[in-house]
Amino acid sequence: MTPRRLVLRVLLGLLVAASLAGGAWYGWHWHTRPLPPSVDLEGADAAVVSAVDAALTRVKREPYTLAAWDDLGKLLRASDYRAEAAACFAVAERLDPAEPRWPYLRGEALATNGDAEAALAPLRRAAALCVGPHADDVVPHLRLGEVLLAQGQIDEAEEQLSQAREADPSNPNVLLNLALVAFARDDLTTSRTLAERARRSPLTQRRACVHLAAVCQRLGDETAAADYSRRLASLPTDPAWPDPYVLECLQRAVGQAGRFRYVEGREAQGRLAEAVAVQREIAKEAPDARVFVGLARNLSQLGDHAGAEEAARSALSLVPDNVQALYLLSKSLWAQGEGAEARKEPDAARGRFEAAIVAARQALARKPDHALAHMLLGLSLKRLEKRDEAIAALRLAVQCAPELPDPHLHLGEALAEAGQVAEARTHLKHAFELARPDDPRPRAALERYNDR
Amino acid sequence: MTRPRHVLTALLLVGLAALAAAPGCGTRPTTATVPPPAGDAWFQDVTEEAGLDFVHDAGAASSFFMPQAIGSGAAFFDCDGDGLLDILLLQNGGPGSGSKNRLFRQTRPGHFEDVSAGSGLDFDGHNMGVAVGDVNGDGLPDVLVTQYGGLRLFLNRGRGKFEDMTERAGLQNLAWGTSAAFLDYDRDGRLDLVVINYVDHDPTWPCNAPSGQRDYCAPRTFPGRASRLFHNEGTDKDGVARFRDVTTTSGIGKLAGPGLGVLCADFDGDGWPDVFVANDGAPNHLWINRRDGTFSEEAVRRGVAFNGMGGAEAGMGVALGDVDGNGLFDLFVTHLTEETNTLWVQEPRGFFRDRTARSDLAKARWRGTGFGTALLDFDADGALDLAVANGRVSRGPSNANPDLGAHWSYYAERNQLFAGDGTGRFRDLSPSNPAWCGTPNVARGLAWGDFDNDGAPDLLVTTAGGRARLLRNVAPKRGHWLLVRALDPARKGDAYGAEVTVEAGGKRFTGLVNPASSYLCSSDARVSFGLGAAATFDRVEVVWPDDRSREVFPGGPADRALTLRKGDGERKGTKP
Repeated sequence: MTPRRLVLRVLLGLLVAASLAGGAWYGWHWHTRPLPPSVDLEGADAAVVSAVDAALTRVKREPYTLAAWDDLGKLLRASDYRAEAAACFAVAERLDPAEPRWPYLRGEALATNGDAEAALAPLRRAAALCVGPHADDVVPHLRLGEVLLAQGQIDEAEEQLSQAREADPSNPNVLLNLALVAFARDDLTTSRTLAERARRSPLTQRRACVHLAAVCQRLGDETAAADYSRRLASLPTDPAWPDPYVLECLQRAVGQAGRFRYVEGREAQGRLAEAVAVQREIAKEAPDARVFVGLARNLSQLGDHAGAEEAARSALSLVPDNVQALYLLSKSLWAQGEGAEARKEPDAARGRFEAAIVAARQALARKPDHALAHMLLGLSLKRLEKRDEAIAALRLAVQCAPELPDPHLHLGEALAEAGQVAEARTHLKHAFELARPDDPRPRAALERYNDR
Repeated sequence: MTRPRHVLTALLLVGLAALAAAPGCGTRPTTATVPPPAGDAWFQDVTEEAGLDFVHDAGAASSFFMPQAIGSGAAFFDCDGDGLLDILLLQNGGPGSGSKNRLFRQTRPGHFEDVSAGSGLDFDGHNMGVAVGDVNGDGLPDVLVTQYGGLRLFLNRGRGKFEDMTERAGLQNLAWGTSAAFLDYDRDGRLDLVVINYVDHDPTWPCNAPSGQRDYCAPRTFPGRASRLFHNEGTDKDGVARFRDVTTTSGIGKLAGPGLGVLCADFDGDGWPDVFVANDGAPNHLWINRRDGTFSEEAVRRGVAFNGMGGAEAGMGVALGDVDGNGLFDLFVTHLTEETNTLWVQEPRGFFRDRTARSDLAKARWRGTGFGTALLDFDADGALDLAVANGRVSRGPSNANPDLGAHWSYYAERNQLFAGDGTGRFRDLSPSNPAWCGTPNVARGLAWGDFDNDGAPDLLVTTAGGRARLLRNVAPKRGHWLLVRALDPARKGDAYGAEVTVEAGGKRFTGLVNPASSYLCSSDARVSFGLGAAATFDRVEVVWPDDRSREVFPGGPADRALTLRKGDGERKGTKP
């Protein structure tokens, strides 16, 4: 063999070896690439299916691209595929190990999916990565503290919550959780002090009251315990604490369900006009009976009874037996009848009340225990001077929902007007007991009929 | 050219070996698999050999009609007074479906025969819960069935025949009734009735999961409803019990909630029965008896409205028992898979604390949406154990088993079993109990009864759209036991609400005569005690419910069923 041939052979051998090594590396890399989770999309919203399919395709095509896993994980979390989202955030963490949001989001998805034990390890990693003074740094410590507390790991929970308190000393959720830590240690005085601070925040006022009622009872302060219990009745549910990482996910929501959740959020905050605006958009793009019913309900609350009637009728054009639409139609017609009566338009009023009766009866044919439909029926019949029928309907309203003040109030008034004052007073008293303290109607009615 | 060929082959082999040895990425969610049986199982499935061939009809699966997901209950009771427990299983196919409830009579020990036809209990409908109690004092247990939009009371006419007396009895409930319980809240010697109502359901309202998939509506979709209380006014000349609706005047109608489970017991230690209602996704209610016919709601102050973190959970089934041996009843409520079931320990009397984490119940081998539940000493070691029947209410990963159709496979989960150690801690025995826990099911109701009278509490579980199963307790190395029936001759029946305390081996074991607990079910009215190593018991004390009189009955050998009659024991004054 000539030296030249030898060199050629060696070069060829090296080339083959390099190709094989490259092939093997590529094969290894391909075989061990992160795989996306399988997602059960059967029957899912078309927009969700399309978005998830696209995101899945991207992670399959670019399995080592962080942005692809970020997008898929957040999309899945927003669509409530929590376990699947957690799997994506696990890959994101492998690709970007210095970023706390990935183990945090993984832990959060697992914890809120009920797998608290599995959530602890990623949450611990996220907390370890968050040592800065930034407000967002509180979040992993707070979440980890909560999960540890629920698991009964009090010492570590306190450690995490104390770190969170250092970063944000007035954070009400941190204070409330520290109150729970103190309670677990039977340090009732500290627990009370911390919970009383948390009670001042609208983010934690209800949970703090719950806790204070129990703490005060154990401290022997029964008056305070009873007071905190009473306050609960008028407090709204505490909103979920602001979690910037989860909000990032929820912004990725697609499809009707995501928009419905947005509307629900606005409704819960009493921002009905904003909810109505979104409902009108959805109704225009994809007419749906539920959207029209929601629209009718919100318009009714805003006092736009003609608009509510129109929305209810739109819902019924899509689903003719929709009980809520029939009820809201009846309600809007009754309210318009009241308006016409106030404007001294008796014929118009009568027509509205008659129509309200028809709609209420249609609702009751489909749902015989609809207390408020019975009530509207009774009120409309009363306006048409069908007193006995009205009282019968109002009695059924009370029978169906004894916990609601309005059926008692209207039955009491109808009975009083019919001369049955003793029974009327009983119902008016019930209305008074059940109504919110700031509702003047039951007291006024009681005073009116007590004089008789 | 042989060498390069060798090199090529070697490289290929190395590459292939590397590929073969490569670990999986582990990012795919895994479906839990059924563990192999291990250890000594406590239960044996005897459904088939017992002749119990009941398949629950939940109606058309594709309709996602919310009451389907709630399931139906069952009752263990001796309908014909022959000393053997019989079984009633409810159907939920709806009116006109032809799927009727079935009554199985235990004709000889361990063998049941279908005696539904002509029993009066064989009717269809959306039947939910069942309560059993002698409402007219004739010594025969009567049956109340709650329904979606109704309830029905059947008087026991003897020999397994029942007569519908709902209207004559003055009972009406238009709402969606779930669990129900008989209790004597005014201690007048007659059984009153509490009916728990769920939500103000709108059957025309469709629901979707956040992904847009059709699913059963969550309870928060609709407002909750108030429970109803009916006072037993006594019987008319024909022996029919008459009830008066005291929902509003008693105060119980003041607060609405999506109620599913109920448990009546003396929660504040004043000797009067109170009412605990497990609400689904809303604070629980504890109606404290004010001894004047009215109730006040005190769940928050007494610590059972919310879990220890201040959150309202999805309360379903309820169990009561003294898990830590301090003589006070503790409370256990089942919840969603995403939550934990919660154990509230009573300390001090009348006040409760969430001790779930300390009990180790949060460290279960697997999780589930709990419905029916029972706190019983299955292995008679002297410590209460815990059984939980599981099945999802929202679509989850498919858990197919041959008994489930495609629809219900997305809701199936495995049941759970925990062994108590008597100090309030529990050990998960689920993996070693395949008959009870091995196969995913959509379990709902769980009733207990010692159907073979061997002193070992057996289980009856109902499922949504699937088979009901009877599980015989075969726990090995069982300790000694006592099965106590507390009878009030004046009532001619079981003294519901009686507190029974057995002293044996230097310990005190306390139980309550109360068949209405768990979820939608009625269980054996007898009180089952595990005595551990004590082959004899020193005495039994009974506090009778009406007058709170305390009687002591003499001790004797264990491992037998005792029937204690009021007036036969040595009177020891009264207990508040």
